[in-house]
Amino acid sequence: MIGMLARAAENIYWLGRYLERAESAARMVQCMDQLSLEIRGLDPDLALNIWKHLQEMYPGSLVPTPESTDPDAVTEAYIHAFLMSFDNQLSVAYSIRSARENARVIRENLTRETFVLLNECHLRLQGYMNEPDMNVMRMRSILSSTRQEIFGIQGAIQQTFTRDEGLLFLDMGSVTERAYRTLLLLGVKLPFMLSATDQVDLPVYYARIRAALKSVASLENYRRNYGADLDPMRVSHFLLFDRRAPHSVHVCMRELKQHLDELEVGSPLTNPARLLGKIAARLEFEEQEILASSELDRVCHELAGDINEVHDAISRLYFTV
Amino acid sequence: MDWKHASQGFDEAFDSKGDIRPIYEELIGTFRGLSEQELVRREKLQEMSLVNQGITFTVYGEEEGVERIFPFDFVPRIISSEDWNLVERGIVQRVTAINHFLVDLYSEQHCLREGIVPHELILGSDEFRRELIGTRPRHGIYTHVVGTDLLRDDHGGFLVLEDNCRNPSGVSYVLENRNLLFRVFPELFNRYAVRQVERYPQMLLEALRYSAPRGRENPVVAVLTPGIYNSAYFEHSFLAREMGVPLVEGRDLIVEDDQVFMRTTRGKQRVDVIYRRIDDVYLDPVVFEMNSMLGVPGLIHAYRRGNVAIANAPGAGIADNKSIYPYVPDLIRLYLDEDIILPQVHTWLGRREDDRKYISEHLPELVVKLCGGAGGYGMLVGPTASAAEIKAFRAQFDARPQDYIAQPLIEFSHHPTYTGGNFAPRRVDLRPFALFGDGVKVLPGGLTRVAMEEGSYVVNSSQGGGSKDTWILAEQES
Repeated sequence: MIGMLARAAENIYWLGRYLERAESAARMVQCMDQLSLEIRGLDPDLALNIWKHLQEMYPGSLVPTPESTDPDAVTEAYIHAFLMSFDNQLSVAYSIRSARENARVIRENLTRETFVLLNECHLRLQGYMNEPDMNVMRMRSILSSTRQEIFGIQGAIQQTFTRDEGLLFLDMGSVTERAYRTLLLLGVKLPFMLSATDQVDLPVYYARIRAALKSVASLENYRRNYGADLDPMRVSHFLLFDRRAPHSVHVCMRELKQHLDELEVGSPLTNPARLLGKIAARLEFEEQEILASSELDRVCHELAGDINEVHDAISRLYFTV
Repeated sequence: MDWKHASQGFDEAFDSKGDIRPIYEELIGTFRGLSEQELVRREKLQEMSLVNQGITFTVYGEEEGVERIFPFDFVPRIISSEDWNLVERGIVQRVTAINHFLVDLYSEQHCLREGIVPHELILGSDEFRRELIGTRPRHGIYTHVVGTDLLRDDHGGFLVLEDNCRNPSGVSYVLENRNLLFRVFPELFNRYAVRQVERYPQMLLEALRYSAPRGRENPVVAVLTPGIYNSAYFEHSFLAREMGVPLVEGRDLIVEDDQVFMRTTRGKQRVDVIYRRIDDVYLDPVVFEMNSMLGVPGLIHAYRRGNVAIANAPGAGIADNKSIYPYVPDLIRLYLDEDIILPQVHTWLGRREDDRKYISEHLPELVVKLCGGAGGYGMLVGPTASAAEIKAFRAQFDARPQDYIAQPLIEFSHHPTYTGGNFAPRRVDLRPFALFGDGVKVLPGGLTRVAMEEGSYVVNSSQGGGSKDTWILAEQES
């Protein structure tokens, strides 16, 4: 089998990661915004502070500290930073621009439909920068339409790409990013989710759990499995171990392993496969121990670190020839 | 809506009395059937299409990475089959002779020994690669891809303005312009039998594979690009995609045991043919420009050993040095024993004493070009230049007259172009593309470049020019 150009593989892997990151950031911001509105009357301080959680879930993100404590101003500052700012390397616009740069470098490996949709999305986001009278309502509408566009791009990829190494690397980037984002979310949200329910304001508590599930596109899937009962351990189990939920860490790691296996048919065990095997074994055989851990949030951060190691190993093996 | 015709030079769509030429009647009739609003709507659709598809080029001298669309004018240029037959024969003749010249120059050098071309012109040229004397590319082909720039004189006859034998660019726009016109003005094609250009990538791949090293059954072809910030990056990527071959940068290639490999996810993969879109000097830092980050150390040695083909072959650039151009009719006579089919423009050489004096005295009337220049850079269009520009250019010319040639200002032909809501005549040239594989084949089409500004002669994309779809009509069955 003829291999793909290593530089092209790297770019296509990152294209997958950036698209996933953009969609994830857009979704996360929408959920935060909705949660903030929902609890504003119940707990005004929390309605402001939850925006800081967004920064914790996106370590390294750059958000100018809002001078005002007016909830609308704070909301606008965060939405702007995560949607449109090119200074924030984790914003939707920045991720789409990066994805488009990757796509330009490897355009010959993409289908025309994919490139055109991605280019259109990038140009639209750039155009919004110059739009006069930008306000929070407009940004909310842009968040929704941009998410739809990203789904369109991802759909075009799945519909039109040749089933070869290129798609494998793209999907590897995508599921790696997805698992990483789910783990960071759990790492930040678990301490409050697992706090004793007699010490919290229950409407706010459940609103936050719903928001956590929604922010990894899993609320409906969770309800399909467990009904409307938002039990924090079930939620943790669902996001870590569920065998069918597309954003569960287990599913992402299983898919990553399948892609790696397909790449490595007939080869001796490689370093990424070995590292991924360790994570997969942990998810498969240590389910009860992990859930019983008194520091489940720390375990999630550990797993996120392990995923970073797999990423590094993939880079070293396939992209640095 | 007005259709103005040219007051000077040859108008391709209207005769001297202002009547529509027969081959343009249907086309102009179709446009006249569309309302102004509809034309504006289609023009917007076309612009959006170019932007959204990222059909762009990068401009030198601006902030790194500035992408611009290449303006497209939707009024196609039509060339009759009779006219095209002449152009095709002329280009095949020219490309064949130029290739003979290169084979000779890097081997026996009859043309120098017989005094057809002066020694000093070759030996003093930056484009002559003395390191490659004695190296013969497979099948003796140097010029796998040639773009020949043509004009039409006052009577509509085609004239050769220059040859591009290094990395002629623009063919991607030929194909994309056709696609765009199909989408935006499909009805224009109803009444014309237009020859197809879509086969170009296949023709190119065949020509490249033909040049592969002996014994390589399924040769691996790659397009070598300087990278994403190169002005023609879109084209490099386009051609790689259309041919289904990898687009590589120098850093993707390594040479081991005089063989070239690309770095893939499965280790090293041998490369047999490199369609390079970077200049000779950057190809290999071991042999040419030692600071080049674009090239591949050891590539030229692998090429000399016959283990990899490079298209166009290194050293081919000497043939499109503008000081060689005046000698092409003599070369055609020497190698083919034929008279030149497509006439060319009278040219004065700065290196000749008499010519130098003439150029100096007539600078404001002439078009003066740097011999190794391209893309409209290093050029003076005397009749349209300001006194200050002429003065500045004179200083450059006087310092190194041997680096320049001069030609009379040839009136370009004009073609109706949609501009500012009207159809007005604008100057156009034509770059057909020839491929040299198992014979020389000319793509039935070409890049028509158009000076979008009224009165302008500048058709280069980098300096505000645009392009048109070029229709070669199929021969009518009798």
